[in-house]
Formats: sequence, structure tokens, C-alpha cells
Amino acid sequence: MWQVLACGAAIVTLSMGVRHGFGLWLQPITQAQNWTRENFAMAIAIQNLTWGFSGIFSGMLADRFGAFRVIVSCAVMYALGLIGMAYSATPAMFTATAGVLIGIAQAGTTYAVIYGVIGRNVSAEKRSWAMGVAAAAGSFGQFLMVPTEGYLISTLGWQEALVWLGLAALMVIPLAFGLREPSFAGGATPHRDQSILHALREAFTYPSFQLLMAGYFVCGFQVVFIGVHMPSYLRDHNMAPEVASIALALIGLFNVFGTYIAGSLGQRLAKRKILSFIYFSRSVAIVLFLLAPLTPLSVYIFSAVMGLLWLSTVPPTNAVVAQIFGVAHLSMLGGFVFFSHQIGSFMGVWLGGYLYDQTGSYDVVWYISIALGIFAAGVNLPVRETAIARGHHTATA
Amino acid sequence: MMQKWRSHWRTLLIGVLCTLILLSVLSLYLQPLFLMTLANQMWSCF
Repeated sequence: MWQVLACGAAIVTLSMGVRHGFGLWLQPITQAQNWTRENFAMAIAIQNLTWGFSGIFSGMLADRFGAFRVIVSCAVMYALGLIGMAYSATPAMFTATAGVLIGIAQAGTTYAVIYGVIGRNVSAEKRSWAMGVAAAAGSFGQFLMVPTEGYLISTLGWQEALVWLGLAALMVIPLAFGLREPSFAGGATPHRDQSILHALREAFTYPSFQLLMAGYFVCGFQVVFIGVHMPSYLRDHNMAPEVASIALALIGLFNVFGTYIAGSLGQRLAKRKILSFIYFSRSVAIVLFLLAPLTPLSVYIFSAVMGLLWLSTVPPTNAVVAQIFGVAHLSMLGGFVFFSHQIGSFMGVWLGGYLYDQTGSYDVVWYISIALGIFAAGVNLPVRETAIARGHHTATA
Repeated sequence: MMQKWRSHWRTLLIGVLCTLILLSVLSLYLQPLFLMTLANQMWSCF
């Protein structure tokens, strides 16, 4: 168990971390290549959608052929994508590398695939905690890599820094050896009671799965709206530029604690109640933030609280999926739930910009975020966490 | 009893170590030059 957890956590740290600092390349790349910000933004938007969409298929492949092969292939794609980013001569090429290639690579090296291995190798009694550890590692990667990538760019230049990051992504390959599962050795497939189609039909006709997907959509919406539009919101309210930087740092710091705590609590408390609490608390935090006078202190308190609630939905959501449906198709089902998250992310970033342009402020999107948080808190409460009944059998925990 | 104490100490030690690592990363963010770089280029790609 410890080997799976350590290697899985290290892979997620690298994979989640590397992409998180991509914003730092916006200025150097667009200036050097004489591209618009839209060129860069389009590639990142496509990356997010590709990540969500291909997550379903990398999950299917990981469940069928084992996570090891998927992770190794995607690590190579990650390296090629990063090096390709450095040498892309046109926006289309940049979209193909930074967008499509890295999007696919992320799908195969992040939560859905890693959680599948954790689900199969960690007992149900410790699964939520283990997922919390892996998610906290991913959060730590995000927190660590932003200043690290800033340092690389300032010392090596943006192009060489990307090449070095590409080489760093290859470190995932030796780590993947720690996630090899004997049941998939030599192309073997472990016995599964259900085909992919059966598993999909079962999940999509099961109300609790739909409710989890709806909740995760809200998670993506809120997190990305705040992550992307918060700096502009603060600037509009005449906050000093460094306030937004410190806010991001605080979100990153408290996110590590939040994901770990949520995973650990999932061992002792009903996960649906944890999820409901997280979504409701986000709404309360946003309401208080909007009502309180906007000062650097209120921004920092809000950032710390939102950091605690940031990716803390990840361990309980995936642990509930494993609890209901078992682990045979966990990566694929996790991929579907994550796809819903990414659609929410897309809507959060797009609607934030669209409604700002239409109304001249972020007020409406804040109100939507509050309403969605209450909605997600409500839809998670009726989720049934018990293993689904399958004729005479129940899902294997 | 002894084993329980040892386990508590180990957990505490891991907790302290993780907190120190996190605080040292936080200190990287708070360097004035990086703070301004981040503020100028803030464009989060979540």
C-alpha cells in the first residue's frame, strides 16, 4: 500500500504541479512569438476540455490494461507536449502541443487513473484517507510549482525552462513502476463482472451517480471562476496587485490541508455530508466575502477559507464512486465525474468573462456561484453511499 | 503503551515536517520580486 501511495502521490504532484504554472508563460511566449493572448488562452481552454474528455478513455484503458501502461504513455506525451510548446512556431501548433497533447497527458497521469490503482490496492477502510493523501500531494504540486517555474523562467529563459520541465515530466516513468499491478501483467485482464457498457448503463441510471456529477460540475465552476477572475475582481476594486498574488499563495497553502482533512474525515463521516458541508460552506464564504468591506485582510481570510474548500471535494467524491460501484471500473467512472467537473470549469471561466462584458461587473457570476453552491449542497445529501445491489451480488468494495 | 507513544511522536514529526516544507514554499511566494511577477502575469490556468 505504501509503495502505491508514495508513487501515486509523487506522480500527481508532478503532473498537477507542472500545468498549474502555465500562466507564467503567457507573457514571455506571446511577446516572443508575437501572438495574442487569445492564442494562448485558446490552447489552455482546449487543454482543459481535452483533459476532461480524454479522462474517460484513459480511465477505460487503465481499467482494462492497467494504469502502468497508461501512465507511461501519457508521461511521454507530457514531455513531448512541453518540449513542443517551446518550439511551436504557430498558434495551431501551440494548440496541438500545449492544448491537445498535454490535455491527454494530464488525463492519464492525474486523479482518475491514480485513484483506480489506489482503489484496487488500498482497503476500503483506508481508501478515502489514501485518496486524501494523493489529492493533497496534487495540491502541494500546484503550490510548489508556481514559484519553481517562475524561477526557471527567470534563470533559463522561457524556452529552455519548458524543455527542462519536459525532462522533469519523464520522472513520472520510473515512478509508474511503483504502480504496476500483478493482475495486469503480460496484458492480462482481471476478471470483471461487468462489461464497460453494463458499468456505464448502471452508473448513468443510478440517481446518486447523477447527483455526484451535478455536484462536481459546481466544484469546477466555482474553483475556476474564482481562480481565473479573482485577480481582475480585485483590480476592479483598486486592490494592490500583490494582494492577488498573496491570495493565490494562501489558496494553494490551505488547499493542501483541506484535501488531506477531507480525505481523512471521509473514513469516519458520511462522505455525502462532507461534500454537502463543503459546497454549503463555499456559498457562505462567498456571501460573507461580498458583504464584508473589501480589504486585504478580508481577501486573505476568504482565500484561506476557500483554499481549505478548494480541491477538498476530490477525495470524498471519488471515494463515494468506489464505494457505490466497486473498483473494477473506477478510473472510467472517475473520468466521467471529472468530465462533468471540467464542463463546470469551462462554464465558470467563460460565463465569468461573458457576464462581466454584458453587465460590467462580476456580481451576477458571484450570485450564480452562491446559488450553485447551495444546489450542490442539496444534491449531495440524498446520495446513497452503500454498494449498489446487483442481483444476488453487490459491488466489490 | 510505548508503541502508542512512538506512533503519536511519528505523526507529530511528520506533521511538523510537512508544515515546515509548506511554510518554506510560502516564503518563495512572498519574495517581493516574485510577488510582482505573479501579480503582473496572474492568469491562473486551473
